[in-house]
Amino acid sequence: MKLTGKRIGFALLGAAYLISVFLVARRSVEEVTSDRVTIRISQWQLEGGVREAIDAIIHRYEQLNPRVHVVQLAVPGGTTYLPWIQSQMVGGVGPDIVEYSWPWPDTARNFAPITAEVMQPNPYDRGTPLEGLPWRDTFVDGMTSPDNYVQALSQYYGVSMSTGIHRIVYNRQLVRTITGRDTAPRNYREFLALCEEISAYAKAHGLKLAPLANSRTTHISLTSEVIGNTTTRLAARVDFAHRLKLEPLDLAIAYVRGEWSYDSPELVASFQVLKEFGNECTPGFLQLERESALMDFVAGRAAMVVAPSWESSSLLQICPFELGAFRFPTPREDDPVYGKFTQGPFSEGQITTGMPFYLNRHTAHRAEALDFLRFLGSYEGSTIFTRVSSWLPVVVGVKPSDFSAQFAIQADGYNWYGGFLAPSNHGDCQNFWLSELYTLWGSGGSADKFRRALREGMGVPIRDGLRRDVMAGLENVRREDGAAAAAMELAPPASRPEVLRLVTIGNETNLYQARDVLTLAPPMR
Amino acid sequence: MRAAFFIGGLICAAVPLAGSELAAGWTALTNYRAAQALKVFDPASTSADPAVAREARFGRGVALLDLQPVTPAQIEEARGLFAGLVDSGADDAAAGARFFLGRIAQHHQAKPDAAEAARQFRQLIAEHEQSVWAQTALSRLALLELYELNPAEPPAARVAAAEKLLAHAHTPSAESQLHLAIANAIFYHRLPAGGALPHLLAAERLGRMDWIARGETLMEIAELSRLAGERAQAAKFYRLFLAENPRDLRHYIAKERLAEMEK
Repeated sequence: MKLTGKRIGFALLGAAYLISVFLVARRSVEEVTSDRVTIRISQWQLEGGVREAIDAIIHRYEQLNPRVHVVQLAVPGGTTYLPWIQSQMVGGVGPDIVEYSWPWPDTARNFAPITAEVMQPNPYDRGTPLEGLPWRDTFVDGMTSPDNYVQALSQYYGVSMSTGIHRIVYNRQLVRTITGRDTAPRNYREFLALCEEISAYAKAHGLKLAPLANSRTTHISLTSEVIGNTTTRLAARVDFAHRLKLEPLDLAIAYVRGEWSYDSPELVASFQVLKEFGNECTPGFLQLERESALMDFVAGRAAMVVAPSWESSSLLQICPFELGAFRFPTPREDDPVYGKFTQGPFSEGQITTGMPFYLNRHTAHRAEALDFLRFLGSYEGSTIFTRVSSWLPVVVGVKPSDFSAQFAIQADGYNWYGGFLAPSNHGDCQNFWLSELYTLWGSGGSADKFRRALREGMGVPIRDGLRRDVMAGLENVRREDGAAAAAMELAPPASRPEVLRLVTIGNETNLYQARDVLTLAPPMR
Repeated sequence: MRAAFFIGGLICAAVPLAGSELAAGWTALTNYRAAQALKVFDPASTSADPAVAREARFGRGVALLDLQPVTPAQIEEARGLFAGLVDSGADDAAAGARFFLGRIAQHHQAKPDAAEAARQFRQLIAEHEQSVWAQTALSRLALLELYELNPAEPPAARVAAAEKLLAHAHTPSAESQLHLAIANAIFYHRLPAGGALPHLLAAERLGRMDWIARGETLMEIAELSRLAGERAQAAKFYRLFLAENPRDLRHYIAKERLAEMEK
C-alpha cells in the first residue's frame, strides 16, 4: 500500500481518536471501578505561582486522604471565567469547589452556605496554635469580607486564600544617595519632606526622576485608605446605629438625608491630602497602567512606587537594588494642618480577603469537597499556599514569605469599614469618583474642584445604588420565602422552628429603609 | 376494638406515607428547584387524602412563586390557590396560605400593597396566633407599621404601633425579631437612640440571633449603655463582644472603651 499524504492524515486522525477514546474510557472505568472520589476545583488566578500553590496543596491533601483525588481547573479570568462557570452550574456539571465572588449572580441557588461549619473548629488545625478555635476566627478578618460572609443572604459562603495590601516600596540605594539615610518616613510631614528632597535632587542633577511612581489602578486602595483615615471623626458622627461601623447602606441613607456631604470639613481635608499626595506622583499617572509604574521604578525614574502585595515577589526578582517598604503615613492628630479632623491609629483591618472558594450546592461529593475546603483554609493549607505563591496569607499566624512580610496587615486601630467615596453596595459610586479624579489630579485640578464634582454628581449613583438594593432585596426575599416554607414543612413536628427562616429581619429591614429614603426629594443641585 | 386499632394503625401508617410523598417536593424547594417540586406536588393535588391534596396545593402555590421566570400570571395563580385553601379550611395549610397571601401583597406582586399585606397578617394573627406562620408574620407586620402603613404618622407613633405587636409574640424567636425590627427603626428614624436600648437588651436576652446580628447587638448595647452612663452594663457588653468576636475589626476601639468604662 502506497503511503500518501492523505493516508498519513487519516492514520493520524484515527490514532488521535483512539487515544481520546482510551483516555476517556480509562477515566470513566476508574470512576466506576475505584472507590476513589474525584473532586474538581476551579479558579481563575493564573498569576505566577498560584496554580503551583494549589497543586502543592492538592498534593499534600492527597497524601493525607488517598481516597480523594482533586483536580484543579485553572480558567482564565476577565470575561471568560464567569460565563464559563455559569454555564457549568446551569448545566449541572459545575466543579465541586468554585472560586466565586459575592456580587456575581445566583449565589444562593448555586452554592451551599457553610455557616454551621465555620462556627466549628477546623479539624486540620489540630496540633497548630489554632486548634479548638471556630474556623471563622482563624482568619485575620474573622471571615467578615463580603466574599466570606454574604450579607444579603446572612450566611457564610466563601473561604478566602489571600488578601491584598499596598505599600510604598522604595529604592533604598537611591534614597540613601539623595538624603544620606534610607529609613522610611515616620509621618506625613516626613513623607512630604522626603518627596521634596527627591524633587530638589532631580532638579539639581537634571534628572527625570519623580518621587513616587503610581498608576490608574494602584492608587485606588491607597486613595480609599487616605479618605477613610482622615474621616474617622466624621464617621463617628454619622454612626446613628451605634455599631462603630458604617455599612454602605448607612452612608447612603445619611447622604440622601443630608446628614453628611462632600462639603464636610473632614472630607475637604482628605481631598487636600490626596492632592498633595498626587503632586508627588509621576506626572500623568492617571493614564498609566501598573506595568508603567513598575517600569519607572525599576528603571530609576522614580524613587518610590505604590505596590500591591502580590507584586512583592516580582519586585524582588526584577529590581537590581535593595528595597524598603512602608505604609503610607496618613496625617495623625499631631499634624499641624489635618490633625484636628482625624483620630488614629488607623487599622488596615478593612481588608478585603480574596480568592474565595465556594461549595457547589449540588455537588455529589459534599463531604469530600467540604473536607478539602477545610484543608485549603487551614493553617497548613495556608502555609503551603503562602510559601509557593508568595501571596499574603489570611490565616492567623501564618508567616508571609520574605519581603512580603513588609506587607503584613496592621490591624490595630480605628476603622469604620464604610468609605465615604463608596456609599453604595454597587460599583457605580466608585466608577463615578474615578471618572472625576482628573478634577483633582489633572492639569489645573484642585481639591475644591473635586469636591464640587462629587457634590454635583454623586447623588445619582447613590440613589441608583439604593434602587438596586431594593431590587436585590426583593429578589432575596422572594427566593427565600419558598425555601423557608419548604424547610419548615420538612421539619418533624416536634422540632419545627419557632418562626420560618426567611431572609433575616435585618436584611428585610434594609429593603424597607432603602425604599423609604428614596421617597425623599433629591437635594438641590 | 380490634377494628379500631386496625383503622388507627392504617391512619398512623398513612401520615408518614403522605409526608414522604410530598417531602421530595419540599426538598426540591429548599434547593430552589421549583419545576422539580411541581412534578411532585401536581399529581398529589388530586390525592384521595384531603390533607395530602391540600398540602400539595399549598406546595404548588409556594413553588409558583419561585418558578423562574416568575410571571404575574403565576403569582395570580398562586394567590388563587392560597385563597382557595384559606376559604376551605382552618388547618396548617390554611394558615400557611394566609401567610403567603400577606407575603404576595408585601413583596411578590409587582406593586406592593402594604395595606393588603397588613390585613392578611392581622387576620392570620387573629385566626392562628400560636402558629409558626403567625409568629413569623409578626415581625413582617411590624416592618409595615414602622415604614409604610402610615407614612404621615410621626415615627414615634409608628414605633408605638409596632410595640403593641409584642403582646402577640409567643416564641423567643418572634419576640426577638420584633425587638430588633423596632430598635433598627428607632435608629433609622433618628429617634433618641436610648429608646432602642431596652429592645436590644430584650433581644439579646431572648437569644435566637444569628452570629452576625448578635455581634452587632452586643456592640449597640455596649455603646448605648456607655452613652447612658451605665458603665457596668457597657463594660459587660464590650467584654462579651470582644470574647465572642476576637477577629472583629472593632476590637481596638472596643478595648479602648472598655478600659474607659473600667476606670
